[in-house]
Amino acid sequence: MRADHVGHVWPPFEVVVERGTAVNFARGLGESDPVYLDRDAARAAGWRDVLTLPTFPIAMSTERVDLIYAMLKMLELDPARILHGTQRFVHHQPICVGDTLVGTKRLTGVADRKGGALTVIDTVLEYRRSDGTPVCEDHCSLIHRNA
Amino acid sequence: MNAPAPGTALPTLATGTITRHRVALYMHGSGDTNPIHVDSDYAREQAGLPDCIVHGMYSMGLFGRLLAGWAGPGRVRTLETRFAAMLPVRESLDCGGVVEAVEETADGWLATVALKATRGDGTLIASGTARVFVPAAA
Repeated sequence: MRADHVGHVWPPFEVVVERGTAVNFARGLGESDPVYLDRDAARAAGWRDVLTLPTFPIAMSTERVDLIYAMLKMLELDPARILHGTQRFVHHQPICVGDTLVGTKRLTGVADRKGGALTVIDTVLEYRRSDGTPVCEDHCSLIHRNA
Repeated sequence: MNAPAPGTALPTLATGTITRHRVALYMHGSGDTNPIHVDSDYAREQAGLPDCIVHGMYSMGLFGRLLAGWAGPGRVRTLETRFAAMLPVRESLDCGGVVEAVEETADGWLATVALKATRGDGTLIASGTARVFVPAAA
């Protein structure tokens, strides 16, 4: 039973927020506020370094896209049939360039929907500082088309 | 900022043409290197699409920009997005938000904002909900 895997936790991993990544993320989205682009401007505005935009944690999570493939293999689901259904971020503290965070991913739900035509897979990826302070959560729902 | 009132519309974020260059920059920033976003040969031949499509998370990223531009950097507490349709490259998106509810906190307000991203022809690409901190005026 796929549902037996709910609660599975993958080993924690470390992620470092890199300047080039954060700046390209902001430039690609057309951002012009220098706190997201330039260290000196960010510091002048009171941030410790370049600030990241609210959806930047997706870039941290994508560094470990292998966990998605491992999860689909564990659940015996086909990556080619996966759609991104919903995405939610919960922010406890701002994330800046230079931050080192620890991410822990947990499988929180697997359920068939629409008479079994779809399987919805829910995960939560929590990011904390090394002292355990919560920083943000990445809640992801993937949809597997069964039919 | 004064207390935001329910019904208040946020200033619309209009992207102009989302060029291949912007999508390529976003690919580098997000780490999502799926060729369907940057390689038009792949999009046509492997995915059966007329051209590349913009990352779904790009629309959500624009919601993040819209909210941060309105309330100020570092104030988005939660942001949720449902993906409705694919967006071809070289289209534009209009991202808008409306304050739905306001809750008073010790040092300001938490505004609940409903979000929509639509392309030029009116097609809904993504919708969402956010909670954003609005500080009381100093």
